[in-house]
Amino acid sequence: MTVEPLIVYNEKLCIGCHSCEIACQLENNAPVGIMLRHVTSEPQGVFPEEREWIISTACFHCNDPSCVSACPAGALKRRDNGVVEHIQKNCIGCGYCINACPFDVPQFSPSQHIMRKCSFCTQRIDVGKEPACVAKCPTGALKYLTDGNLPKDMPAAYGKSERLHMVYALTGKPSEYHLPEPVPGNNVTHLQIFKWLIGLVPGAFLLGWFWKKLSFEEDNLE
Amino acid sequence: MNEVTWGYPIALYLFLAGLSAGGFVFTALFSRVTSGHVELPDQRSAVLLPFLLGAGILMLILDLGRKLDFWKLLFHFNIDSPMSMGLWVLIVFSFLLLFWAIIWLPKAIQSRVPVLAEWILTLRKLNFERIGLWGSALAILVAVYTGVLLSAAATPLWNSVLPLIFLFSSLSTGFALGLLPGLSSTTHDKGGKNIYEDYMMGRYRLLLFGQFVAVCIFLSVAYLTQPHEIIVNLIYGWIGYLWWFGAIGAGILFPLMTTFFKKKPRWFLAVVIVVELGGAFLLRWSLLIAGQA
Amino acid sequence: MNKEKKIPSECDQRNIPGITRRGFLKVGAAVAGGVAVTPALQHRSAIGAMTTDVSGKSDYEVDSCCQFCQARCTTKVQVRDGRVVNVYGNPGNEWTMGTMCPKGQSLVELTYSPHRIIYPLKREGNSWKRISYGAALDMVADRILTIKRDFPKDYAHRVVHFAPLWDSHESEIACKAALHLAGFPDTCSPGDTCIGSSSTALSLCLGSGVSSTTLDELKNAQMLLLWGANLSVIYPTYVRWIDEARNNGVEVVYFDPRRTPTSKYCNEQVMPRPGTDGALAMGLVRILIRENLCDREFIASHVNGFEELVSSVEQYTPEKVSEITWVPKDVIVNLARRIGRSKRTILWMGGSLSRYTNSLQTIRALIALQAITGNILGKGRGIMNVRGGKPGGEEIFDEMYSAPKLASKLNFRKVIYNMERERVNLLLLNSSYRRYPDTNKIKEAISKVDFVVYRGFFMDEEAEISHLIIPPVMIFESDGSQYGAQRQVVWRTRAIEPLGEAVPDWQFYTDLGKKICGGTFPDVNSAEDIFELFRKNAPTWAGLTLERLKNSPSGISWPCPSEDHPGTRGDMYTDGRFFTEDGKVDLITKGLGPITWSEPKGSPKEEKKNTAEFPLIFTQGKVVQHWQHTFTNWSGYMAQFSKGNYAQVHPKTALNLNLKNGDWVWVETTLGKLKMRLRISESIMEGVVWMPSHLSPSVPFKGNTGQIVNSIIPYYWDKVSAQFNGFGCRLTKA
Repeated sequence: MTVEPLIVYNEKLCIGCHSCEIACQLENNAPVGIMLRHVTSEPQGVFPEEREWIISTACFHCNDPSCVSACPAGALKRRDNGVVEHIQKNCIGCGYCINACPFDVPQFSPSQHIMRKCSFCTQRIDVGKEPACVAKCPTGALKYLTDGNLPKDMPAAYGKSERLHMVYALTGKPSEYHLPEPVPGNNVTHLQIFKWLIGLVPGAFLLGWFWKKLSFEEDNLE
Repeated sequence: MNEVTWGYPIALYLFLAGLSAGGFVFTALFSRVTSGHVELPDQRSAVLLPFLLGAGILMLILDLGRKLDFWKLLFHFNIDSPMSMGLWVLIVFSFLLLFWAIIWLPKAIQSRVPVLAEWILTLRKLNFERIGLWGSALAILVAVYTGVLLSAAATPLWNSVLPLIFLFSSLSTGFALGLLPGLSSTTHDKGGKNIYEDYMMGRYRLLLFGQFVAVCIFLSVAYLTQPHEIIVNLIYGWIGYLWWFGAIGAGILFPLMTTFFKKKPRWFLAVVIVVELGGAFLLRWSLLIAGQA
Repeated sequence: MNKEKKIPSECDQRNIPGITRRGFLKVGAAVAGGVAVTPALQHRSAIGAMTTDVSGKSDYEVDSCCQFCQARCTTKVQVRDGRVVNVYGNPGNEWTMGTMCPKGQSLVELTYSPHRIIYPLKREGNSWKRISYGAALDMVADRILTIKRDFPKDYAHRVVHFAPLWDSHESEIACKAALHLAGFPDTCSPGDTCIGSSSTALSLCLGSGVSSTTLDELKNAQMLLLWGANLSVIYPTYVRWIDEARNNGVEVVYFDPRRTPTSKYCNEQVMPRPGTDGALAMGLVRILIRENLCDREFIASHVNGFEELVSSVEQYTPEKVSEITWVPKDVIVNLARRIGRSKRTILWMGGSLSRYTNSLQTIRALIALQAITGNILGKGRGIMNVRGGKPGGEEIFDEMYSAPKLASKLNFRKVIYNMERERVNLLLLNSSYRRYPDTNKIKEAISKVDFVVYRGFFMDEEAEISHLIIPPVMIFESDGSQYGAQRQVVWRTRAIEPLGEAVPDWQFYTDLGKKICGGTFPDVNSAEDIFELFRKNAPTWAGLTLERLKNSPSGISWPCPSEDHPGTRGDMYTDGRFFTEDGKVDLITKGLGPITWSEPKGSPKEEKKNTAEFPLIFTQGKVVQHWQHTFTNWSGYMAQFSKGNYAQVHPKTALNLNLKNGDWVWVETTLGKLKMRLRISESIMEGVVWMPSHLSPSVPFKGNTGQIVNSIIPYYWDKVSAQFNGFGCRLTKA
């Protein structure tokens, strides 16, 4: 069993080859069009400072996941080691996690009838192997660590101080890469009670008011 | 073009759940008004309610990726999930609706199943006003749940005012449904007031007005707290047509307006009610697809 | 991510059963193209469509290797229930560290693609009839024997073969043996459109066309000249070596007219105008000579033709070179001085250097650059190619297994010439004709051949012009050895049985050879037999026993003369002698004249009257997820990353033409025009157009489907290989 799995993405080494994307799809039986890991890039700047930023992202494996809170069928679970695991056999494809995730991570796979998302390759890390994306990355831009400590030559990384399990060492600002800021943190479904009350309080009031006002004597009726 | 996860089946589900909740409240109030003493034919809507809810739940099941696995929802209880909690509330509520429908079965059907008739007589001796009151509380929970389900998600358009809108919308559509069979009623009280026109219609008007106010609050909150692109999806384009002409026009303003008319031929009211129900569906549908675009 | 969905809009899954939008699994035979093939194409589920079972276990793993580029990544193929479910890199491979690029992974899908042809098909009008392998084989053999009978004196050039990049070495030599023993010399090599020029130049100058050293020498160098080799696209699994070299203090200079992901791995990028690399090399040589930065001792003992070189480079002053190449003069001078100061420089040449009519001369100039600084022999020095391994000893084997008095082989252009005059009766089309320039000309020539036998996988453009399709296997279904850029030889073991009636190339050509060679074809019955036959006859492979190979995840690098020899890494010329006649570098070659540079034919800078009409420089190239024009196009997974046809230009170029990003444009050359979208990018220099060249119309996946870029590339050749870049074109708004 791994202690604290950590995947580090280092943009300086990434060549945008998409090997990690298809590695993930093959390992996790994701059909064409359903990418659990995404490689995206966009050009920026003007020559000679022009560059194309590249990033390979998967699920953030939030420390306080909204998807886990949302799931009514017990198909999402956050393990102690931080991995937010999707248990496919419990998934019924209701789509609530897809709407609950603020980062558009879960995807519905029409041909498989359920939601799909990165589960950190638990079937591989549990037997001491690297996740598929890391195993096939040709340049080592994706690295897998098991003790939660970043390499010394990588001082700053998106998600590091928040102790996310997927961190990104980038050459630009996170917002350029469309990464959420602040770093994924609090669960969106937590403030629910207020949402209930916004409806229930007026509702109770209305009901009470209607109930009282509408009583009248039975012999008024003809 | 982005994939819309929740489309018209969910819109129908939300609509039908809200409708059955509001319909229950109406019939509960109505039974209180009349104290059940008179065999009014106008509790027919009560009989419809379990079927409406059943149809809604069926839509929910059909929308699942793995439809045959819906039973897994019943083996799981996640207090953090409005979907999970709401489902349990719905299960209790659907039993209530079934029960309620049996109580109010019209004579014509009772006569076909004599055993049932006897049961019903017994049941009607229960304090159904009490049942109606607590049941209405549950119904309001259901109506509010349909809004919380959406507002608890991460979609920026679905802000916290949705439970309020759906509360009013559910109640007003339920009232509309309840008023529909009553349009041919001639029952008056001693003061010459028609139960429908002079008692229930006023509440209906209030509910529509409340829905209008809730929508205004919703739009303001959406406009002020989110980037404009979020609300643009809803109020412009083809979804905008559905929203303004359907949800707002047909669903709120048009029926609201007609409640002020003095002369209301029955057929006209029937049309208004059907239009309102259509508008209420479009309210949910346009919010759903605009939020996910 | 904000709520921006990243579903690739460019990926259309039409024609794959099982992948539908919302809705239920559709089961049925997929029909691609206009020809109904229902009896022959079986429905097979595409990967991932049916199951979400992720047990992570496989029944067993098989050692294999990728069939695409010469990085020759060794792999572990995972098989479950008799079906290949995944392929991983072999972690023991020191060259690749067990990694892979996307192309090799696409084979998991392609092996089971519902579009794949797995039974021989005979054309009947517009439709196809399935026949047995035996019947198909007999058909081909009978035709060949009939040709020999009907033309007893001049059958030699009537049967022609277009070779692919072979799945195994055994297939390659079985094919050549079968045809050469039967008296047919015209096996047209893929090098014509690949790095034929580069190998030829190296052969002429050093005596062998392979890289002189291996990757592990990079860290021993002081300087690496990565010339025209966009590793991030062509050899992704080798990019780590550049990083390691840089961390070891090696100065990496990258030559490429475009900024690519490889750029971030270099210390300096020089961006010469496409096709002017030879001039730049000559300019550098001139500065080195003038500033006394050559290794005079080495030149005296190891180089022929230095005096001629000195006079050849005289005209390439820094000013002139700067004008030609668009590289600033101070950059050139500075670079030359740094090259001169470096005691150990490795030159790594990319395939793009062979893409011009001046390629042969360009490579000679680059070899000269290394030669005069003494940077070919020894540790941390050498010249690398993007193709390494054609085995030394091949010629001996070739000679042994050819008919006595075999006619001389014609080059490709002469073969086409013959075809156009209906002098070719049978073509074994073992690869794509779309990889040649002026593809319509090639297609028309082929259409004049009486009988075309296609060894292909899909109903593509080649199938369309064939009379008989005899499908080969994909790599998970065949055994064989393969060679790679580090001169390594690896052995691939079959992971599953061949699908349908597909047969490996070595099997087909062996079967054919036994029928058409009049009993002279060697008695071999397996890939192992053929391997052993070669090993016995090629001294450089003598020590490469099957057992050793099967236990070597990195392969073993030849020369390996005996079974206890570890193989040869690093500098191949271990005794300081090259494989030329006198052991020295030959900078003079009879028939080629002095080393010089000329504009690529059709270049806008050429002194021709129509070049003003085509003022932009045309270039094309690979993308990382596709293996040129071949079967990766039929992968839905690869389609996810592909963007169809597009023309990439610099913002100023677009501005001058009043074009905006995303506009539809006509890209026009002297040969024709294609319509595509414009993409504006700062990564490309002004005045140059670049486009991906993998696309074809028969492919059923959006992103992969498109027009054939080679159809507008004029038919220009240097003495060895075809030109694809450097000529003039123009863009107009469509």
